[in-house]
Amino acid sequence: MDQFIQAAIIGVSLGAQYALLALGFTLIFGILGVVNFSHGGFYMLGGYVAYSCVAFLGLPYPLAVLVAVVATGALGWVFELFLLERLVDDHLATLMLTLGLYLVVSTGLLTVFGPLSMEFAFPVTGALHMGPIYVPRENLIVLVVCLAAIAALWLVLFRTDLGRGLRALADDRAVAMAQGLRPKLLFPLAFAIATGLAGLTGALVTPILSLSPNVGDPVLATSFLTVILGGLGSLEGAALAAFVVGIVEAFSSVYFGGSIGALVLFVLVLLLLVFRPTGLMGRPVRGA
Amino acid sequence: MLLRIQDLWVRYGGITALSGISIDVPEGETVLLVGANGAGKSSTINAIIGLVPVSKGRMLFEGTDLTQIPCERRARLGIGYSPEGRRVFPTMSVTDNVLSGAFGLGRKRQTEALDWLRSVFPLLVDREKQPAGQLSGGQQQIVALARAMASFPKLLLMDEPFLGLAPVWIKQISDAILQLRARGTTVLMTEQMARPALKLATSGYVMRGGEVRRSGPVDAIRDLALADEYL
Amino acid sequence: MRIKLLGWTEIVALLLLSCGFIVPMFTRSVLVYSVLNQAFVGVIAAESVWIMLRMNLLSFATPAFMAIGGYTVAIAGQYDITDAFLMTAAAFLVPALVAVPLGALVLRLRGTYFVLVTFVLSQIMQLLIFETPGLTGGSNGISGVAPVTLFGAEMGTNRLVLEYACGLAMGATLITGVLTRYFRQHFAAIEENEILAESLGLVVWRYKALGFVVAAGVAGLAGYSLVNMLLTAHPSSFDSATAVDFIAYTIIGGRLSILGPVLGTGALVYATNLFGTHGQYAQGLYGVLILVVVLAARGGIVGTIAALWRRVS
Repeated sequence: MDQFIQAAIIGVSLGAQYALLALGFTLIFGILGVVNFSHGGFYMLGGYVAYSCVAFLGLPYPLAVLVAVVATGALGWVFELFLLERLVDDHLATLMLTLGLYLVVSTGLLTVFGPLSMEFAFPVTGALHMGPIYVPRENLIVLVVCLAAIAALWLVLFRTDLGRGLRALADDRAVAMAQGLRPKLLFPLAFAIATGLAGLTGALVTPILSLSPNVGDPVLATSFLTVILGGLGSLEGAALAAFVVGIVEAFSSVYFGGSIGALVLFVLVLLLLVFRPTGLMGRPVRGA
Repeated sequence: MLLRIQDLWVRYGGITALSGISIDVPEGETVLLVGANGAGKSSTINAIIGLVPVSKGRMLFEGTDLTQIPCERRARLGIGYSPEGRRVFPTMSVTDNVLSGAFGLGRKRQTEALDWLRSVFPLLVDREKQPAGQLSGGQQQIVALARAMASFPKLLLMDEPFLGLAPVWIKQISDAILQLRARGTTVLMTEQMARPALKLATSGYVMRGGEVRRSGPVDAIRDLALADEYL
Repeated sequence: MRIKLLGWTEIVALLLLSCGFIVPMFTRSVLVYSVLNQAFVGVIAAESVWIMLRMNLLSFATPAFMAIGGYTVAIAGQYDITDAFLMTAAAFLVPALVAVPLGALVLRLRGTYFVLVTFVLSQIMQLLIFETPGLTGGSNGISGVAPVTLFGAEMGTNRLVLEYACGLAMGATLITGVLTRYFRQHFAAIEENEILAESLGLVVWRYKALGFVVAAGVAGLAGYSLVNMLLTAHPSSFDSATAVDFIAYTIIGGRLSILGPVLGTGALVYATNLFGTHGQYAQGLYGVLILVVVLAARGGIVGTIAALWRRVS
């Protein structure tokens, strides 16, 4: 039973991390119609920026995380505005552009920091003991920050003018433009929000997991599984699916060990595609 | 003249949708474009709001040539748009749909617009939180009209507001249009159903095959407009 | 209407590849052999990507099907089955069969799902290899794979291995060429406007699935060639990150004709070897080149050469 509760807590904590990644990914897809292959790159970049701020500039960790969010958001904004925006309606071209960016970012990190894992430790250690249940403090902190970020994203999307504009562009771009919503202004912002979230996740999670120039791929794969499970473009679906993925992963690693969890999830996703192609909370998928 | 369209041509691919039409929309009037499917009504509206490219001609809105202005900036000049088939934002709540029509105008003007529209259309209060995609066709048309009016435009474009609606709703939408007009809004509307539309209009144009066949005050076009209705 | 089975681009591609038989007449340099071997494997894998790209679909699944083809041969080798014809057929058919249900499933959906699923598939294949040590040797792989035999004679020398890799690459080019020529109009219609093609009665997903199945078989040949070159089937040979290399070869080479993957692979494998022991940095070059191609030179190497040629003549 204790093991069960512990696995559940790890699962929820993983789920919150995946939710941040998947929400950003699905936000970009829903609003711009772009499949962002550089999402894992922004995750890594967030980790490395935070690491550099702590190791080289001596900044306190919370500030380093903030710098990482701003840096990844800014890079996302610039990339969207100057490169992606020109071809934003061409699905294949945007996919390749983000792939190209990912390769440049990961090779850049490899060149600067080398192939080995960084010594980047979470500043808070120790664990909380509640009876027989044992929860690492770092996981709790990550969970709380992730949930706060999700809540903040929700407020922006559903309580502000900007959020209304973004959702309108996701629902029907042509009519939204005719209502005076300007994609050239809003698309870079949407991209920046999403990449900033990926950077935040990287800055928070890489000290606990690991930070090396090849951690981007698995992150991308998990984001993909999550958004397919939740339904491409659906925010609620992505959030829900992220917790499903996190919990399945946590339980399978506690009870079966190894990578069975990922295999189970993949089979789950394939089955879902047979019976419910639009995902858990999906709506009709936009073209190509 | 609020809007003056001169020799407007629209071609998509190899098809000519509009062959040199000219339309005048005087301030304060309700101008109707009638005609069968494919007559070029929607192409005219889409050209004005910027959803289709114009191959030749001018569209002067208060003296500014709209062809020189990108679609997303035309709304700001004071043009509201209620699209064919309504096209509300399906996942967004009724209130958010309306407010998205007043994007970036500041909270004060948004509240003012919402309060006024809610006083005109009680539906907007009853269904405020419901996703607009779940509403009936008539209800969606009200939302689309409110969205178009949320920026208090000088010119309201309505593309086939009665399309697919039951007579009860046609009556309701007509009343709604009359109330919006009472605010002094100029209206340019298209409609296949000439009979209810003629009751609203002050002047009109009968279109066929991408050309204007007859134009003038409502009484002057009535017979031709009604003949087309049964085509 | 008579359908041409091969056009001049395919013939030029085959002629270019046949250098694998000519070069050994002039040199025995191990480096040249190694670069050529890598290029032949890369060409086959890039052609697998190119088939799907003909229909505007980007596939990240190449390493997964390469693994299936490669391990099929390695496992058969453990049972002393080494006949070249038998193994070539198996390396093509086994991945193709695996692709049938997968393709039928995913390709009914929009292209975005295809991209995402193929990406995940490559990751999953790595896990599968690690999780099945009884069959695949897990993280150790299968080493000491017996060399292939042609009519009973062992193809063990460096030169024979190179020539065999060359033969496989030409075979894969032939298969790819015939497929894309035979279904040229169908593929072009899908690439041009899928919705229109569908409304004209083309059962789009069937052609996509057919392309996917053949692409999987072709990738299997690449895996076979790789295992035959290394005499080892190892999970690192089929790392999911290599999918990006094959995509880069194809896009940078140019997606308009089969010369694209051939020339792109040749150029990039050569360039990667210039990095020497720092091969991991080559992906940065690929990234920059992909950005350049997409933003400035949509036809890639082949398209740029063609454009220059037209300007000259």
